[in-house]
Amino acid sequence: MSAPPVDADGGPALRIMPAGLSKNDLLRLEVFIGVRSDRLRGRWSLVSQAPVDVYIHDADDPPTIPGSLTRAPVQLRVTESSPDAADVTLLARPLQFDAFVEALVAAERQLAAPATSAAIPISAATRPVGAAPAARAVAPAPWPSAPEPAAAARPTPAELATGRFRLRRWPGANLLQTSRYGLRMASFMSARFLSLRELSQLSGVEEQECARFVSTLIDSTLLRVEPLDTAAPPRAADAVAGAPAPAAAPADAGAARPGRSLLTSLRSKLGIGHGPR
Amino acid sequence: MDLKIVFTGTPGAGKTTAIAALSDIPPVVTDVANTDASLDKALTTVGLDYGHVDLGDGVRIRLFGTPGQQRFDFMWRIIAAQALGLVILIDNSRPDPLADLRVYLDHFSDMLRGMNCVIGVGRTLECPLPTLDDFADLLAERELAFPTLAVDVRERSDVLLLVDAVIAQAEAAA
Repeated sequence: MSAPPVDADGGPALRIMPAGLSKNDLLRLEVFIGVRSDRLRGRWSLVSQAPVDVYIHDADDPPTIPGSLTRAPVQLRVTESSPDAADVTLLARPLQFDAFVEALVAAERQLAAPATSAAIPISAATRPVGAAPAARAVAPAPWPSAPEPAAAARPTPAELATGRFRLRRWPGANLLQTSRYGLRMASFMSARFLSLRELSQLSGVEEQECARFVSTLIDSTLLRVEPLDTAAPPRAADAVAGAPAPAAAPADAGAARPGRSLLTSLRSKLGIGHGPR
Repeated sequence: MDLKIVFTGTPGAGKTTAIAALSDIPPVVTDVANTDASLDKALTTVGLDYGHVDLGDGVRIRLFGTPGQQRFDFMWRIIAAQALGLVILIDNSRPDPLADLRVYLDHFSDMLRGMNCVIGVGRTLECPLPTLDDFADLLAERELAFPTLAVDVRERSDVLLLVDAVIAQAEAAA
């Protein structure tokens, strides 16, 4: 098996073809490919035709690869049920970043070109004395070394504790239901960047449960993150992370800003109380 | 102190019904006979719907419903200015609900970034498309992440979900 081509950054360029997958699966794959992982040596891309290194499908009998008479070296299958954890070629829906990276790490090992025996390394101990050192011919490494891509792993507890989070997109019902207070926590995070502590104080939910919910949203790339020590800007200015602050709104526009006690009274009057605490 | 929550949205989406579900008083409606054949309703709002919730100590939350037809859109911004929150109700049984939402997002575009806003999508059981994810994607394209909920405004509990989401945003900003 020949070594894969190398892209400009030095990592092997590897190709994944999805076949017969749902729109949600494809969106997730696009996000995963974009986020990448420092565990991967190759630079992966999604393709629609051969040549293909990894073929990902959800069928019992996978369709053939257009333009190719051979099967892809690596086959990954997407399933509805939880697969055997030991089999990294099976990926359960909804596709998860960590499982996908595990599968690609295994694929990279499988795809690595075997070492050639064309050159025999000459050790310094056997080189004739006085002779010019022979050109050192060694078996090439399977892939040239490449700069490690930026890490994109699940946030650690320390990272969660030192960040502020705000929704980039409203979550789907399945994600909101991962916590009994998901709807309210998500509503808070739709308004501005919040730390775990602030989210816990607003919602009345224990910080640990807030962390689990935030991690779930991060896994689904639904959150923007900023460092905790970023000064909280006025609400209108932090609407888009990284975007220039908008001009100040006219005085007659925007929302009224009542105090917490009034909002608590409104909740009480309507019978929509606070969280567990 | 007076605050207001504004209900806007397409004709027939349930603005008047939502206000009635919350108001301490029977809503004051300004309906006339509907002459728009495309609307399957006998009456349509041509002014404002009004109700209120009294919190005591002179504090009142006023509930306003904007007329849904676009010929009254000049009133929408006037009513929504300085509101505690804006509830946009969308009827998923209409021909193009996503286009309907775009109308309101465009009309309130310069106000939305400082606004507590929630999208309530009705009739999703009978008309499941577009999905709530489609609405959320549309909002995300505009870098908005407002709560987007499937609701039946005939159910008070669903209307309270909308208001809960508005209050939560206000609490986060307080």
